Amino acid sequence: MELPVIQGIGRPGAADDAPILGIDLGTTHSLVAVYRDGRPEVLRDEDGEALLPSVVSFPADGGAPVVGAEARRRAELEPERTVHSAKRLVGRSAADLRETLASLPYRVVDAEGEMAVVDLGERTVSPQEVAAHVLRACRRRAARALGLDEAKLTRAVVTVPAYFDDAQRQATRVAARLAGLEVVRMVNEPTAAALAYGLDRKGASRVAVYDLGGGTFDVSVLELEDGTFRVVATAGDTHLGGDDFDRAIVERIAAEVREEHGVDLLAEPAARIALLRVAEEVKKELSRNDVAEFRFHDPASGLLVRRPIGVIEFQNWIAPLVQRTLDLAARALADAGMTTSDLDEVVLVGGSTRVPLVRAAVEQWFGRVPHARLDPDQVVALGAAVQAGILGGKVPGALLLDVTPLTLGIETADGAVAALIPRNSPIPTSAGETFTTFVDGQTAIALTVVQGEREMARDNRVLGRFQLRGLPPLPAGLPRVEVRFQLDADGVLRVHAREAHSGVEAEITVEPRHGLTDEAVERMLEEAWAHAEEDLEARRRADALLRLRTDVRSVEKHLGEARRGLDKDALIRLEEALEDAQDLLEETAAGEVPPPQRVQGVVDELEGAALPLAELLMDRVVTSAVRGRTVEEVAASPAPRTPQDEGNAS
Amino acid sequence: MRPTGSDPFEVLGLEPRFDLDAEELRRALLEASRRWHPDQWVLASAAEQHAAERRMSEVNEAFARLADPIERAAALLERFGHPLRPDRRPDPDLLAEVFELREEADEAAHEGGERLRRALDRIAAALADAERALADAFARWAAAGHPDADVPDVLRALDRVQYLRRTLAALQETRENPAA
Repeated sequence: MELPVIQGIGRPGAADDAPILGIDLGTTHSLVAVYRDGRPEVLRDEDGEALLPSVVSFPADGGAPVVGAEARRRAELEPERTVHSAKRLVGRSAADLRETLASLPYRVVDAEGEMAVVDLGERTVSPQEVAAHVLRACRRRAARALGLDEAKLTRAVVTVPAYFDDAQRQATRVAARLAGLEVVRMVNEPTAAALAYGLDRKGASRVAVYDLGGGTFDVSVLELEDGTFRVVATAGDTHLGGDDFDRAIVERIAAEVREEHGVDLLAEPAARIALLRVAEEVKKELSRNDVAEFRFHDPASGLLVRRPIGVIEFQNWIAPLVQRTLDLAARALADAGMTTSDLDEVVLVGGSTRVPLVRAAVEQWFGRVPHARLDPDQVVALGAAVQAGILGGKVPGALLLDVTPLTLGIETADGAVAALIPRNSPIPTSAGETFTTFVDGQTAIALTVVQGEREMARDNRVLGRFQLRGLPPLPAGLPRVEVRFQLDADGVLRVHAREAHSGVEAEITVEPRHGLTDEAVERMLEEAWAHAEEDLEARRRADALLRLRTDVRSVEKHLGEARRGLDKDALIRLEEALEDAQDLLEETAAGEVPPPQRVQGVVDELEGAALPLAELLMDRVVTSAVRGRTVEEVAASPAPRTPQDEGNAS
Repeated sequence: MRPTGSDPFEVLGLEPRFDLDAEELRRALLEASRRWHPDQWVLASAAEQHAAERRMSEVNEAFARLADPIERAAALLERFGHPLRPDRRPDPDLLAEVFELREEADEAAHEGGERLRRALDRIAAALADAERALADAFARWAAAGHPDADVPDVLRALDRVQYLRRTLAALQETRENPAA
């Protein structure tokens, strides 16, 4: 069949009506961009903010889920109901995630099909649903920024880490569908970055993209020529990112505090979140200064942690993580058949490349100063918008040729893998291999489709199993079963098997092992539309009440100390504020519905009145990096409480 | 061996010969991609999209096969009526030679260090020779008009490349993971 080369004949006008969105669905934050007036552009919210935190909070009162910055603020209020880093759970089982789970404040369990879901107690939420809320927020933001009806924005280019496997890609597609978006193309994040950088480039060049995000690392090698972007090789780790830097700081501090004071800072999920937040700030500060202070007040023990951190110390903590990225870069280059001297450019992507050690290590290893003209947080979204522009026919002459990052194969009789499509093959592609039977008279053959780089099938990810039945009973080794893999441009696989003598056939699209059946997706879609627009007033009231309860509990707990240590005026103000707060909580418990402004007023007053108490508590126990000084200070402070007492009292 | 789909030379619009230049092959890939990549067909009808996707798959598969000398050799043999048979027997002399090389390689791997490096260099050099010999065999075969009589020569050269490549790969792996 000969096809006309003219474009846009099938669905005329589709491109002009509404732009295809370019969405960077990130582990820590997401962005939405479009291609207009000949260039990609990130869309911002009313406050001019480009980054949308990929955080969704599900209020205990059953109110509508809260997304973005507001959800992030709620993390300390309801840590176990506020889901961040959901991207790490997508298409994974709880068993896959053992390491990750330890650092998450919310509960993760396996649902049917052994896929990880967040357990909220009364119900579970799949990572796809969480991602869908984030995607819907992106879509809403785009509609507002573009002045378009949201219903018109139905198509998107969504980026995924190059290392996402089949299950993770399919799960991402489902998430988009739940958000009312059709994914017209999934683009690997590093590739998107090259697109963002590559448009204005002339002539041929070879580029390495080093992408260190919050939760994932990817490195890709591309050849750029005449508007064609060819990914030659890619490598990465889905569990390596800037969050690990934060965690390295927190773990170090927690270990020191445990040793010096016997206090476990990590006991409370809320405290863990707060610690990570502090660590993130310290990390950022260390990108600007040589020393930054880690300062944290632990509400449970009353301990005030003050620990100056030197930049060299920090670099030593994260050096092994940075080295891992360079090892992966070496592998990608080897796969591309290149050495660092073959490269023309190195491009930095991801907020974590702002860390000076990362920059220095990249510069030294690659032997050249990396490119960082674009905001590393925005590069991927900009690239997604470029691809959206290409697909919409707005960028003549540009074309992206992507590769599959993981080897696809079939398990053989001895448990090894016969690779059909090796990693870094350009997609879409197909490949075939002939298998035979193992036993005389065998009439069925079981095929296990695996994805991964390990030699033994059991060490790789099983994408699906299927059987070819009804083979003619022939002596072992005589039947010829031809297996063909067809991998589409989004990296989704279809497998076809046929026995040559008998013509018996079987075909599967690899089972969507993302844990949601089609029916489940349909049901969620209906529920999503049934959900009314969020009642902001109710939300604010609920949040303020929750906060008030926490504050009241904390003040009640330390009231004895307040009476001993506070001066009279401060004590009276505190006791009055506490009384007001207790009254308000009783009223609400009795069924009254106070306006949110009033609740907020009481919260503000109580928090103001509790400041002197907080200072008093902080002065009691101070810890710092210099151990000798710490001991003296602790010894000098009146009536130091031991953590054990604290534990008994609470 | 893979069951062959369409003739990869035809898919990429290339003249069927063994001494394909990498640059030539890359150009052919880019040209075919510009035409058939699904991204060029997003606004077209579903049927056209599907057809384009299938064509592009063929293009990428053809490129992968032609980029690999062994697969390229297999494609050429098939094209001229001599598809590789999975049950063909390699030349006994070749097997004897490979056996000896393997033994030597195993010893070198065991000893490691300088001896391993020397063994790697020697096998790599032998492989380069074998690849040249394979190219020559194909050139002679083509010059003679692809007669059946020359096929055993070509096959012998091909098997030699295949075996040496395996030996080299095994030895390189030993160097990278000495524990294994």
